[in-house]
Amino acid sequence: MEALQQLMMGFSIAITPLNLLYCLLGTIAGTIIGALPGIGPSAGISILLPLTFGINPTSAMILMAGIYCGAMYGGTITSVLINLPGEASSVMTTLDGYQMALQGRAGTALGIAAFGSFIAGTASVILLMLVAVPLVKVALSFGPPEYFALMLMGLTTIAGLAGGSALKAFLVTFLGLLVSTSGMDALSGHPRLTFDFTELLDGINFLVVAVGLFGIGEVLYSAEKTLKLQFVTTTIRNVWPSREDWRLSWKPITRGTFLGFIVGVLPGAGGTIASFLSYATEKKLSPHPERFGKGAIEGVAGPESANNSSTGGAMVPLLTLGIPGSGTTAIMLGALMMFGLQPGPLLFQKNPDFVWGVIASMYIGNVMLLIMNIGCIPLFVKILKIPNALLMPLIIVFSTVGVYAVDNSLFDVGLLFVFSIVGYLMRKFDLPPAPLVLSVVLGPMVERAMRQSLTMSLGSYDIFYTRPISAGLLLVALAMVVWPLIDWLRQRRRNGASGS
Amino acid sequence: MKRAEQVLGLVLLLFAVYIGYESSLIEAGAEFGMGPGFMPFWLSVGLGITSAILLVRASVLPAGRFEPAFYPEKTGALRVTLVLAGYFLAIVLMKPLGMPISLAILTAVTMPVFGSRSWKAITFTAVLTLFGVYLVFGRWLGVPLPMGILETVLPVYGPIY
Repeated sequence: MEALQQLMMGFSIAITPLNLLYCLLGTIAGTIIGALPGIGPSAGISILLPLTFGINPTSAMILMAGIYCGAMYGGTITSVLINLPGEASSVMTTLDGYQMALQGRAGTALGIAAFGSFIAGTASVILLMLVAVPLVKVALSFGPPEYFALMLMGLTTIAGLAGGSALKAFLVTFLGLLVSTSGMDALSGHPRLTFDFTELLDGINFLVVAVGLFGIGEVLYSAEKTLKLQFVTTTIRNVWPSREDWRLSWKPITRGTFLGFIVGVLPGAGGTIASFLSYATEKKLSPHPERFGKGAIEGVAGPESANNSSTGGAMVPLLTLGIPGSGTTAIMLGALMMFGLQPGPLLFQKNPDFVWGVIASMYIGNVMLLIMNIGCIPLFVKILKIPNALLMPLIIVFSTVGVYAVDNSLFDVGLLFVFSIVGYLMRKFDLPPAPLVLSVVLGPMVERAMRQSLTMSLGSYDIFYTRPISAGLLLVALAMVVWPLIDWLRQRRRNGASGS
Repeated sequence: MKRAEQVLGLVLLLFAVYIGYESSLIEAGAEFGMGPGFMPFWLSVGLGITSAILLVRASVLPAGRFEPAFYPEKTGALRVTLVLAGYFLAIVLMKPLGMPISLAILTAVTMPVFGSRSWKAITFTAVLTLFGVYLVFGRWLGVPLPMGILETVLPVYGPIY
């Protein structure tokens, strides 16, 4: 009941003309960003973040949430029409979505994706409300040791689940944490890793790292692999799914919604893993698994619902605990801190208008996205035909001025150049960028929580494993470090056995 | 790519050793637990260990397990170099020429790299970048852009003459 009253208050904030405008702009920008191959929500939010300086934090967060949700919708368009995922979480949609397009059913594929995304996105916001309120009550009892353990768990989980090589993900995490220690120590005032640059005394802004890695790093990668988008030559009609389409899709949508939300809450496992799991589940449960990969509508409905539902799930740890679980939510957390807000359980008590305004805007955003994705798909397809020759320089220009605008510092622009090269090389070496950004954002918080804990225990490390919640979370963190090692050993043994 | 992974492991290992040395010069202990040097030191140890494993792994695994080449196409490498060179040039010119002009130059340099062949379109976009950056960021959002030689012609503050 309390949550419902708060939600009503949130709606009163979200439906102000200015916030509705930011919500609309966010969802449009998100859909375009999601549809453009190579640019994900992380890049979109970090590039557009400087445009929000000067507006109030609630409107800024509404814009960012709109981009985040919109990107999940937008990724579908290119997956279905060009067989190229606009966003990593839309990879699974290419398998059946593109086949449907080849069979002349592009409209139905895009339609069911839009409806499934709407249902899942809305349901995930309801679940977010249901989970967040009790979780905040639990989180209020957390002390520095629990926060330290929680953040450590977040960092190890995102490294462990990053996909690809766990070794590389852990390496990147260490690198990100090292970057975060640069600057003047908050307690002693001692300069650390500043290499005699006075500009580094304030540390390295997370936005410089995020824009370099996700924005210009990606531009450099696209420069190497000049991409030509080849659209399926079909007219997009019959966006409304038929009764038979609904009969086949309602179960995948329902399962995808719950699966996506749960996966979204977990640190490190975002929309991509949610859609992979959903596709695998649907194929396994289907009485005709042979249809998958040949244009099965369930292969579009399930994964698309799951990746949209993960956005609501990802907002749970961000809003209730102040701990992001992915690169995108890490950028949102950094942005909130730049706006002077301290995400965490107290946010619900101190800034209820902000939290509930954002939650309410997510409902509105999902309605806007449904209308746009049903009515304006041909328009988005036209936008997608903007040549790279125009888009890529525009991204560099926006990124550069945006990073400069944070502190009005040309030194930051120089650092951006360095992190752009780092981002490009990371892409080449298959090093995941999300753990790096997450550790840059979480690094100072981890260190502060550890120091506060040790001060509480008069320097004894017992405090971390004598408190049950902290000990439990640390065990999970340890498991995330050990698991890839066990997996590797098992794989080696299996390969050895098959070889002999 | 095997050689490239070896180089990456080695460079990161050397970087970790350097950071570890720098951090060891900072006080690691404090009255309760950890001082300012504690985190950077132990993080550099972590980075050192992971990069050493990466180096060993890249040396032990057969070359067939890696991508055949760092740059499958030479033209791809050339395009990346051109964008980076253009970007570097723009950053160097930002103070003397101003941010709008340097970003306009950057646009003009990078557009052909991404496939534009029309000089009319390139010139038009570059000019649009110059005024767009000035009007959107300088005037509308009030960012005090470095204007360089344009400082008196296009002021960031005050009325536009």
